Amino acid sequence: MVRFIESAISGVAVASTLALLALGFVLIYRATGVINFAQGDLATLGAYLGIWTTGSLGLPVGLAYLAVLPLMFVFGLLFERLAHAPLRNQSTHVVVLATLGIGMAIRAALQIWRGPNELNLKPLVSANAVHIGHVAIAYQDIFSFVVAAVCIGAVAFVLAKTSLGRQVRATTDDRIAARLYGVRVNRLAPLIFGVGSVLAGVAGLLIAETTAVQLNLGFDLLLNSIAAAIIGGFGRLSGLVLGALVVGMAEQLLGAYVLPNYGEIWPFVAMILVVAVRPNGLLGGIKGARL
Amino acid sequence: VRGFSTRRPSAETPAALPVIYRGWQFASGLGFALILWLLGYVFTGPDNFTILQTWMIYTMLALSFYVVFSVAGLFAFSLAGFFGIGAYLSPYMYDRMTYVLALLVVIAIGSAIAFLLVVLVRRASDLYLGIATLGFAEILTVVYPNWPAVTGVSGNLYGIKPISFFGSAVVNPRPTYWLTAAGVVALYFLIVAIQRSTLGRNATAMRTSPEVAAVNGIDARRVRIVLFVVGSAFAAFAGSLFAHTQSYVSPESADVTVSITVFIIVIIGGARYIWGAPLGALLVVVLPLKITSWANYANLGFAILLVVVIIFAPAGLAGIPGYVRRRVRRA
Repeated sequence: MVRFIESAISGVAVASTLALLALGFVLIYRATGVINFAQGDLATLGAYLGIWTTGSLGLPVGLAYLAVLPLMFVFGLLFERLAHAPLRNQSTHVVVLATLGIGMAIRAALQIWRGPNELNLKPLVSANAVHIGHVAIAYQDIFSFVVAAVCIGAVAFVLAKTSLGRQVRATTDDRIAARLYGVRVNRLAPLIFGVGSVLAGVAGLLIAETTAVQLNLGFDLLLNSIAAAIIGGFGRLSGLVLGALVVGMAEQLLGAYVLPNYGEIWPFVAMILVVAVRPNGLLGGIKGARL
Repeated sequence: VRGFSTRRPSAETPAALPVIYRGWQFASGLGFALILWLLGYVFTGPDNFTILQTWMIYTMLALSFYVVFSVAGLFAFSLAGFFGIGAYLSPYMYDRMTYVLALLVVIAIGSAIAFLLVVLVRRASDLYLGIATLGFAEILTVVYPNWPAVTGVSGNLYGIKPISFFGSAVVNPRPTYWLTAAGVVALYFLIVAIQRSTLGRNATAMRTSPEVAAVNGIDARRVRIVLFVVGSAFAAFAGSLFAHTQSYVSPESADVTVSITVFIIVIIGGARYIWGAPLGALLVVVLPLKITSWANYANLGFAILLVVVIIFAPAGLAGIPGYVRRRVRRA
């Protein structure tokens, strides 16, 4: 029973970081129609920037983590100018390729900067655990959960209640109509890429708290996080949370009991089955979107 | 907004040109065969042949992807999976029967799995299909290290038997080269033939004007399923050739990176044209092998080159002549 509960809790922790990574991905996809395959590498970049600000710059850990966020935002702006703005009239596949290229460039640049070896990020939260009965819950897991919940809540609030959110949703529904109604669609894109990068950076920092940082850190997680988004459906943020939970549980819980050697396949099996039964995800896709 | 203005030729649908009455496909195939034939005589030394071998195997994969992506219009990342199925199953089968029979069995198994997969995800649209098929390839990369009876220790399969015809094994670099070259050229012309067949014309119709095709009784879903299975079978064939010519297979030789590389090859080469496949493979696979002396900067240089090419030639390298021609005509 203890093992079951601990597996479930680590499932929730995995789900938190996946949801955070997927959040930026879905946000960019909804506002601009771009499948951003560099999202994972942006997370890696966030983790490496964190190592830089905590290590070489020697800032206090909390401040160092915060300092990563504006850097990620600026990088997101540059990313949009470079790989999205010049390709506005091109088919989705071409833009996908551009994001793949940017992702490769990030990885290569990080390798030149920091070398191919594994590094460690100075953690913000202690590695201890709180014990409730026989069950141990790591502080870092709780921290991941809280940060993810706050970020998702904030994005959900902005999307639902503010003018900016209405503009993004209008753009998702119908780009041309939104433009005719005065939404500056092309101004929205850099902002969204910036915010998406910041979210990726946060996810990268959270992941780096508990694992060693290496060049493929984010890229390896990207597929799981997209799987989460697809299982839930791109239509709603609640779908994202649901999908992330399904993936996290499938990996940690199913992986602990059924065919342990094959633990990593369960998220993908779940995804293929969901796509087979409900092609737009469990909670539905974007109305009228061209996918 | 898409479709408002296109200053540059875009890689929009129709992905592949209607081939009827267009001679470039055959001509380019002949040209490709001729180049391969010359290269086989010009080059010496095992290193050069290794590079050529890599180029041809990736060209075969890119041609398989061309069938699925450009002809059928399906955005699928599962080809590395079928490549892996071919690469791992072919040595296992070849231990038990003659090569031709083993190849047929491998292709049959690959096709059957492809059929099941595409039927499962047939209702998914672009992005969902792409990621679901990527997930399928990812599942297989977890299976390889865990099935010692077929895939060797931790998925490393050493000392794979070379193919032998009439009792003589194909082992030396040059004969191996000829064998692979024959395979890739055969695949090239097979795909040209498919595009000129009823199936290929139906696919063109279905892709370019779905309503008209439907009215004329073309079952779009059936066309897509058949072409997906055919393309996957080609990838399994490439995997088989790869295994027996390299004599070594590891999980990395068929992981998700391979699917992504093949996608890059086809887009960079030019998804509308079949000859974009060998051209793209030359840039994407052979160039990085050639610039390894730049050490750390090779990866970065290559990634930047990729982004630059895609920004300035979104229709791929194969699209440049058409772009120049249109520019000249307009001037």
